Amino acid sequence: MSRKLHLIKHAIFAIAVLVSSQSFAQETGSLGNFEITIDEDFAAEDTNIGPAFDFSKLSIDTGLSLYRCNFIIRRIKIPEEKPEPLASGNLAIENGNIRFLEHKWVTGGLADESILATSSNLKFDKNGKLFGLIPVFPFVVSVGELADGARYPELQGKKTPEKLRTPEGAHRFNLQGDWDGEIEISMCKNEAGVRAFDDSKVRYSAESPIADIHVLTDVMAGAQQDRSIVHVQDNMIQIISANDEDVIRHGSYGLKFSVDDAQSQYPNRGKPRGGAYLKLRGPYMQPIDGKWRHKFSIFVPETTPYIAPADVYLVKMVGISGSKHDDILNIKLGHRDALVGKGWKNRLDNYLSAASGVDKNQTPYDINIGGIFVQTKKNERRYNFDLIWPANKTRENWLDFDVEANWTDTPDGYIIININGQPVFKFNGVTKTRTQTIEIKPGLSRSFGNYLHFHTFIGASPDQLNCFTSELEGFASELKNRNPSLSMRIINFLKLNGVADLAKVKAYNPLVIRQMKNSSCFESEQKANLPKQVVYIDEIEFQKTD
Amino acid sequence: MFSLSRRTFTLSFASSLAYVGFPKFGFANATNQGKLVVIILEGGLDGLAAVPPIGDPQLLEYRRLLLPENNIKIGSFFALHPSFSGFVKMLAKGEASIIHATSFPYTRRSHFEGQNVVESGSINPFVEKTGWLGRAMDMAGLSGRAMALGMPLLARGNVKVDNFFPANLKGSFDPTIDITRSLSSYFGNAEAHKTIKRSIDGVERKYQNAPKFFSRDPAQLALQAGKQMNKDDGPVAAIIRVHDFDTHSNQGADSGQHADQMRVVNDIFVNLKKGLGPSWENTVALTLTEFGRTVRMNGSSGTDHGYGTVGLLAGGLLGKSSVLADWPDMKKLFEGRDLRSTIDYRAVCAACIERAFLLDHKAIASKVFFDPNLKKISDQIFV
Repeated sequence: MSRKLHLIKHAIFAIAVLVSSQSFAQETGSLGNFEITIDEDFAAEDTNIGPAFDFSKLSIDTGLSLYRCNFIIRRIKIPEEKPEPLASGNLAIENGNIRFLEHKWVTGGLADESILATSSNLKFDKNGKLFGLIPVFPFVVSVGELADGARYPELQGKKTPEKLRTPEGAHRFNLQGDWDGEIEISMCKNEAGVRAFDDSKVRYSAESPIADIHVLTDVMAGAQQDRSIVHVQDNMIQIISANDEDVIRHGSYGLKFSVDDAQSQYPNRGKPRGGAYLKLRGPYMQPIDGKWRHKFSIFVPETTPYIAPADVYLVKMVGISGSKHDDILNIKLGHRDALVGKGWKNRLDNYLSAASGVDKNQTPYDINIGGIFVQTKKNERRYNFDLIWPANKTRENWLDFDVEANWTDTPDGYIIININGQPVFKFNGVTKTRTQTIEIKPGLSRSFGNYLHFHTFIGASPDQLNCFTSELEGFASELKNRNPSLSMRIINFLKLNGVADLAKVKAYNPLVIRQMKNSSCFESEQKANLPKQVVYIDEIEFQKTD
Repeated sequence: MFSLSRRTFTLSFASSLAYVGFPKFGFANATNQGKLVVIILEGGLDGLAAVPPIGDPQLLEYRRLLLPENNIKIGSFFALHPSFSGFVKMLAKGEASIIHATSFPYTRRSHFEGQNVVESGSINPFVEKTGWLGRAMDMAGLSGRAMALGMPLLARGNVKVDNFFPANLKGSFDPTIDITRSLSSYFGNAEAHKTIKRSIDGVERKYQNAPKFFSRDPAQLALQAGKQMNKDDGPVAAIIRVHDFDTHSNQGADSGQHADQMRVVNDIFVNLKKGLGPSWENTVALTLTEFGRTVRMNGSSGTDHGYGTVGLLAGGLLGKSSVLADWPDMKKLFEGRDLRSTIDYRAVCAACIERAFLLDHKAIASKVFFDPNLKKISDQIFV
């Protein structure tokens, strides 16, 4: 072949190659199949599908979980405020998120159960207000009508009643223009079918903030709190979640009771006492009568001191008849020395005798006996105190109380107490009068007249006591009006100086207490302040057993 | 007779959904028939924006300002607009396909004619009173359609079993277009009835101009459509209509009106898959648009009506992913302005009908598209 022909042949070949390599860039009359190469990042599955709402600025109540609530979704024409139902059913609340359960739409069309289940994004904040996106079918669609998709109005925490901190209530949103909507949530219950919240019609005020606390069934079951609690100030009872400082026994919530000197009442119904506690009856305020089982778990931190001679009660079981309250059985934290209360003169002599083996420089009032005591009534004036749990196992341990009782005015009554599975106390006999109803008060109840007197006067100089006596004499007329014989006894007693059984002379007269606190006769550091005490209580459960 | 223009009618709604093809009463869909979803993109989808041919050096020359920066590369020659973040995953999983440089054989660039052509399946506008999907369902023996106002031409067939139901929206007293049109036609053109007709005209205008109760979210419609179609006795076909692709100005690139609408299309695919659940395996969804857009940007940073565009398909029925094109030379634009169409999109629709409704291609070509020479490409699109 000639060289020229060879070159032409190569040129033709080159052109052919050029054409074929550009076959995808020029139409050939047939479909070309282009290769697909996709970066892994773009090909990865997107798991974040669903209506988006920015919850980042909200304090979501991740501890809120409820087994079942009722709900109804309505549309509301403004300004007529005529609500029309769109859907109703049940929902659960899990860690602050709403999960829709079985429900029905009345709108027809495209509405079915899946839309709320898969396309809602709703969360509660810590004030029980609802935020997020909810799919709503706003039209009623008849057969054959053009199907329409859901709208996604935003919920921005608008709620009635405004102050109600539970998730129950009507959560309002704007659908569009002159149409609003709402999702009303009600009748939230725990798995046992017990209502989770107090009657939502209760009105709340700053003076009785305890009423704002709705004790959830995470903490308490089978019992209901009397709404009439007063004498409680802010943060004395808190619902807490587990954190570095606080403890809970089980679940997501617990109760924390905190009382210090500033929160004690001077006086409290004529007595130097105060505290923070619940007042519990049966479900729906059912009277506690007959056979019951009362369970509760109590945790006393190490930082909570014993404060004898003050009486500190963790649980009080009280019989109420009219306005009369009788202590039937109290569970007490610590106790004062056993010598105290047996007659002050004899006690003092015993205390001072060598045989007692007690440090002479320490008064009986200083001696705190730690542990858990049961206080029961011996007679009208006296009580029995029985140590049921030792001091070395009391603090920094959860104590699971299991109390079986037959509350009755007949001799077959009983109260049996177990702590952590161990039987620790048993009483047989009448446990209430015929007309009494039982109220159980877990928390921190404190009677502290003895404490104040002792700790104020023990270090007082004779001049200070004389000064105080003069102050009291100055109020003698007021004291006389209140209790003439009592006032003279106090004054005379104070003139004695030294250690004395202050309780014996009923020196906890409220006027004396108030005067003691306000008196200029004592240095401020001399004036006794009640130490702060904290206890945690959780897993309260009442159960009728007959 | 007063007639409401299609343009004003369709602009009344952001999107719409219609179900078609229910099994006969008492019979669940027991065959291997697949499901078909047509996503009508009104206004003209810019195929070069949706699937830019990044391997073609002419692209940058023509469209520098319209080319997204964050394209998703799907190969050496093509990319996807970043709005298609969900569609690309389907492409990666063998559940989506792209047909490029395609169009119905209609080149006059009119919305109304073009929309009629792509729905009727006839290359001559306003000749056919039925749609290609409707005729296909007639062939497949599917009946019992649920109709409503504004029933798409696409779904109309010849079989007289359609049931029309009057509108009955409780709480809504807006007059409907059909009602006003019926009233208007009743009174004819007599001089004596001019006042009445003017009143009816005014009512209709008020209805058109009044703010609608709610806008419609096509992605959510798609979710619901999928759920309905997943039911044993659910519809076998659905038509979702999306508007606002006619971006004559400020079209945008990565973002902008066209990007927003493409994101809607993406969300429709994603939500269809979600709603269909297991039925996704037996479904194909395809886009349908009247034409593409000009290759070059106009003076208003937008594009005008064009010719060749892209078709997007998705669904488990495909069996594989493909990017198919007989790529035209972009130096030789159609009438010096448009991407040429080298694949008749009717063939793509025919392929989908063939596989979804288990029909013969030849029958589809002659009876659905009235073109016995229509190319069969189902083997290239479907497994």
